[in-house]
Amino acid sequence: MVEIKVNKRITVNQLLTLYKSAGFVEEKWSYDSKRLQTMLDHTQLTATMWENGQLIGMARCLTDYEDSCYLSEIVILPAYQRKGLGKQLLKTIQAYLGSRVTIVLRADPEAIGFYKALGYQKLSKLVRIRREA
Amino acid sequence: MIIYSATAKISSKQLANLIAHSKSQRPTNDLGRLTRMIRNANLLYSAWDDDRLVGVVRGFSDEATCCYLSELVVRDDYPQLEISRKLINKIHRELGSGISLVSAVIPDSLATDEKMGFEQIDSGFQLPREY
Repeated sequence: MVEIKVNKRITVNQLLTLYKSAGFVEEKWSYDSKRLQTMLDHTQLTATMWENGQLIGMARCLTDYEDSCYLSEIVILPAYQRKGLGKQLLKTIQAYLGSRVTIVLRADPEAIGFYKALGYQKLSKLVRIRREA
Repeated sequence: MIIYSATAKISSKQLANLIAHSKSQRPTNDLGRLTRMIRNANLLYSAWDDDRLVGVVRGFSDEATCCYLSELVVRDDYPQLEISRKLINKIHRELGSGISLVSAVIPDSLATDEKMGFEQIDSGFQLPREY
């Protein structure tokens, strides 16, 4: 049975296994574990999905819980994709934050329809400075 | 002279007063909410003219890979672009080049200024707050 948890502790090994199995954010695979641990320790909000103790999906958010939230990553193991689990992760985040918090994200091109169907609107002013390492 | 700070304490009343004298449309009647917004932002840079708060950038960082700047407010009667530019530059310098900076509140002329280093994200989406 798949379970969703908010802000449940994740180990660096569990995180790396999820990233690698999903072929996600390849640049982070080579980060030293201290940096990934710092990232996990300071991330304000996560919703994670578990089956039999295995981490199978995660939404990671930067937020003040009061006004704004940036969905930095959403990743699900390939075997569990296209089963509505991404929607469940997102709904969990939305329900946890409530309607007073704006959620902002960067959509993968193939996920744009998914976000639109959930009521997300195009945001034309989003910009970034990329990290170099 | 404008002084910039990464550590100065800001009260909810100071923030409410700044917002009231800016282009921000944010309601300021709920001081408790403003207090929590100040307290829960792990990145809060401010600009001061003596003891008057004239600019704020508020953001959330994971301190390892990514930082999101959710709010940028500058007092109407002060130079908007200069203060915005200095606040953002200071944040980027102190975060370092290993942390990406994402925002939907950067003024257009800074977002397109090559010296600032921003790139447009074409696939930004949001679910806006209701209040």
